[in-house]
Amino acid sequence: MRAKKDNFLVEIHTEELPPKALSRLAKSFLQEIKDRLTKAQLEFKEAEFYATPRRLAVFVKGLASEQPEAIIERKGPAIDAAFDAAGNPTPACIGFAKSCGTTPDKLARIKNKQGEFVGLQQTVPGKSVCELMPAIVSESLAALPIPKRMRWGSGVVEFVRPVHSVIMLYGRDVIDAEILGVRTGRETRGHRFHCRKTISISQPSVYLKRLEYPGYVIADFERRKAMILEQANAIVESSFGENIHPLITPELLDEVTGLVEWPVAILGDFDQRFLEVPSEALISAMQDHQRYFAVVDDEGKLLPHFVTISNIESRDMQRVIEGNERVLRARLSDAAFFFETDKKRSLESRLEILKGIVFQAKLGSVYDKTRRVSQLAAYIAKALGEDETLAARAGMLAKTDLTTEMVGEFPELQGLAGYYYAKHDGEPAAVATAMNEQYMPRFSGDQLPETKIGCILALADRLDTLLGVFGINQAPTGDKDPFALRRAALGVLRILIEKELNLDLQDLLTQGLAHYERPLENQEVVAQVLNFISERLKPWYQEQSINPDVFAAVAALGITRPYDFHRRIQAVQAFKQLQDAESLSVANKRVSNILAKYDTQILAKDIDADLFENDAERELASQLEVQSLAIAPLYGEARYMDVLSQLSHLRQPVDNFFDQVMVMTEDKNQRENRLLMLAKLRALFLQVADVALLQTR
Amino acid sequence: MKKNTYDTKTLQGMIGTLQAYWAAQGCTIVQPLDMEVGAGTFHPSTFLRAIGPEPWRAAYVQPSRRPTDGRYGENPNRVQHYYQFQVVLKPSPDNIQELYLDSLRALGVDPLTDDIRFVEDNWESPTLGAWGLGWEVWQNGMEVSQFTYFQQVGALECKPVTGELTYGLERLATAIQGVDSIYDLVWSKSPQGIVTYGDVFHQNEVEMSKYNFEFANVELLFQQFNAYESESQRLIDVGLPLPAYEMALKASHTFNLLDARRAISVTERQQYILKIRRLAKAVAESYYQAREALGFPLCQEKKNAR
Repeated sequence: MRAKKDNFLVEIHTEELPPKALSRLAKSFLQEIKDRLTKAQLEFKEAEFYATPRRLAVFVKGLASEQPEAIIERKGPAIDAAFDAAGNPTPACIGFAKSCGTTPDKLARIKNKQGEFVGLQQTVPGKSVCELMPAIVSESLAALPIPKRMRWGSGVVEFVRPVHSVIMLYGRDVIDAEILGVRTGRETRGHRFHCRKTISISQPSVYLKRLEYPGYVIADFERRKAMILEQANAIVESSFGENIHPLITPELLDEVTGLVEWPVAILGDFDQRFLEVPSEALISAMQDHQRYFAVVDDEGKLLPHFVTISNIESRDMQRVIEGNERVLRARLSDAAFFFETDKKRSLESRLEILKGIVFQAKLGSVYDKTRRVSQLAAYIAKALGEDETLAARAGMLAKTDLTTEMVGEFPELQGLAGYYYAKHDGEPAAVATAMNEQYMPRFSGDQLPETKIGCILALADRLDTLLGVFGINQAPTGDKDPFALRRAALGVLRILIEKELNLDLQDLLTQGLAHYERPLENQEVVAQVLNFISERLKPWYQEQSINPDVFAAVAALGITRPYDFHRRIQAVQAFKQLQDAESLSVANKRVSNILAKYDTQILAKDIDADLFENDAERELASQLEVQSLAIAPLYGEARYMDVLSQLSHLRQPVDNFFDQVMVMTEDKNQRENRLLMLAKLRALFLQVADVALLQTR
Repeated sequence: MKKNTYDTKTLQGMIGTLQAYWAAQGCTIVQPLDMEVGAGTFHPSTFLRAIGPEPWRAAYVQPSRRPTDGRYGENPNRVQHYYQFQVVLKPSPDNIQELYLDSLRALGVDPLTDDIRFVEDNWESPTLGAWGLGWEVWQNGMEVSQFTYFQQVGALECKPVTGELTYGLERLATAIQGVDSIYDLVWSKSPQGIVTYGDVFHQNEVEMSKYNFEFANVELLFQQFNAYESESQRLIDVGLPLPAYEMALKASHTFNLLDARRAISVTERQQYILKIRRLAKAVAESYYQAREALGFPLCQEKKNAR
């Protein structure tokens, strides 16, 4: 019998949910339900989520009314034991039949490897939707990624926010259950202010429509998001023309969508004079504090307007606009005030304050860190042939903006505030730019510093932190990484590699350690930090689709210059595509094995041509000589790709050698002579990577 | 409810309205705590009553001091002394949000004219060992109230949960009166004319800012902090949680003054917060035991309940 199909709806009606997490919560609610439906073999056509500040809902279209029938086979006693000599059923057989609710004559015979038995095939009906859904929904809710659950009233139930009602419908019927401490039903609430009566949902398919009218709620998250985007663009363009736009980041759009059930875009203005304040501070005040969209022209220049999305069709829209303008005015006045106050004092004069701010109890003050970073920055600048004085200056001023009022109020402006104040103080442009660039990349995939001094400062700051924290034995464990050292390590690698800075980490870390006034507890700190940073390389290359064997081939060499490492990776990746690569890799493996097994010391120093027996041997020796001369200048210029393609000429001589020459001969002189050749061959490849580690078919 | 006779366009009228409204919801209107505190949460009617199983409903104005927020009377939105109107409902009723919205209506706020929003804001007080989840309430983008479901107080689980509503009276008044500066708020209208917030408090902001930032005697404050701390501990040891709590509050305000004088470095700061937290935790436990010893009187059925 085919199960009938109908639509299913569950809605959890709550108090206002966290807007940033809303779409994630709703999506995982959907996913958890879908997973469980699939596991329960409840077929459905499709499913979608709805989410507003006051509800999470999942709609399942064409859900089967029950699980498919299951056929189970029950095995009884063996035939010998089931019937006596006369062929009559034994008590065992009668007992088994009884337990199946039938009689011996209805039993079938089951044959398998163990023999023949009496048995019975039974059809078990599937469970119904009404039986299954309460548990599926409850388990799905329990599995939601909620960082902090709360209790309310006198209850013991925990959820994101207090729950007021739960709808659970299958077709026109309520599936009766208790979910999150609430009896299920078909009633919900519309907009908090526009619709003050309860709304009854007759069946899942009318849910969206009923919530929109009379509910004043756009329950579909994606549709509401699209409406906000469209309204915001329309209101700005209709007022200022098509060259002016609201500045809408995806995160902010999601958050705003999570803050309204009935979006109404409104446009407000602020005083021109605030445009003298760094635009980033203004944008931060609008976006992060007020959840407004800033307004910019085609060139990205900030204009004195904003868009906010109201949750009502106000009886007096002008009042709502004025209210919002008043709040923004207060915030921007603060920012302007801070900007003016901060400028009265130079960054340099703030160094004194840093002495009183602890960076980490065992690692001294922020001033101590500043001094170390400055010294390390100067060292790196020297190594790169850049201006040491500029680097040292940038290092000294790097953290001074932390003491400004602006950063106190808008912590996200650290670095950027330093940039503006350094410019105001008349610091060199390179120093000012480095103030902001030191924090780049701020997150995974973020842009890197553009200037050399910026790169240098970014490196020095991160390396000093890595050294210090490892030095007091507080290396990250599991998901505990309070100093964000993993991100710092990846930042170091990205800057060195992508900015093509061929610096030796071992050297930088050793230098950095020397700048600590007191010795650090951890004696192994340089090796550990080096290892920690190097560990980041593997996943990083994996993301870029570099094969693990290519990575292993280069990693085997223990290179401590990430940029050099990177060029070898590229070379080996290209080498692997060459026709001769496979055979050479196999040969390297073979050579490596032969050399590893040979535990007697080789006394001979040079290859002796007089000991050669045949042309294959002679040819390989001469090719080794030729190629070794050919690659010397290439290697000197780190042209690893050219080195490997040059070495690929060895393929034929090597193959011939192994075909025609017996390495482990009885004659000691000949044997050692041949081993020397192989060692030389291996050494040539090992200059770039251990190609023996490449995967071959 | 009786028709509102207060003028909600004045600060004092707002306070009268809120007191009458919440009294009608069964709140006991208590008076402000006569000590320096940073917020209404420190009042025993909130902090201590949130502990244990006893039901409780109260409302009150609490003058609040945050020395570091002083701006010498020059900033239109920031002051080191301000007023909170605090409501606590324990256990938090299911219609607590509606009750709050009705209180705004009583103040003349129409949520179909003004855009009222509940925006996620989770509260944590390191010194009180307390946290809760809730919102800040926006009126046309301005934060006018804080709304918190207490989950833990003095490191004790809140069972039942106390719902705390905190109105920022000055904020709310600027929104209702439509003025840009706190100092322009109408406090009262009298036959002698209008009295503004500035008339009442401007000089106080100027002088107290000077005191907080420049003249507070650091050495004396350190001595006081240590004395209050040990006194609080001594009182906990003899089973007097209420006086011990007062000493802890004095220590807390002394710490805030030292903070305003920038006399405490970042690491030391953490140490001081932990000291106060330790006291708050000990007070909470001691208070719980004291109430338990009394048989949790407010859990007993009231003979005169109607």
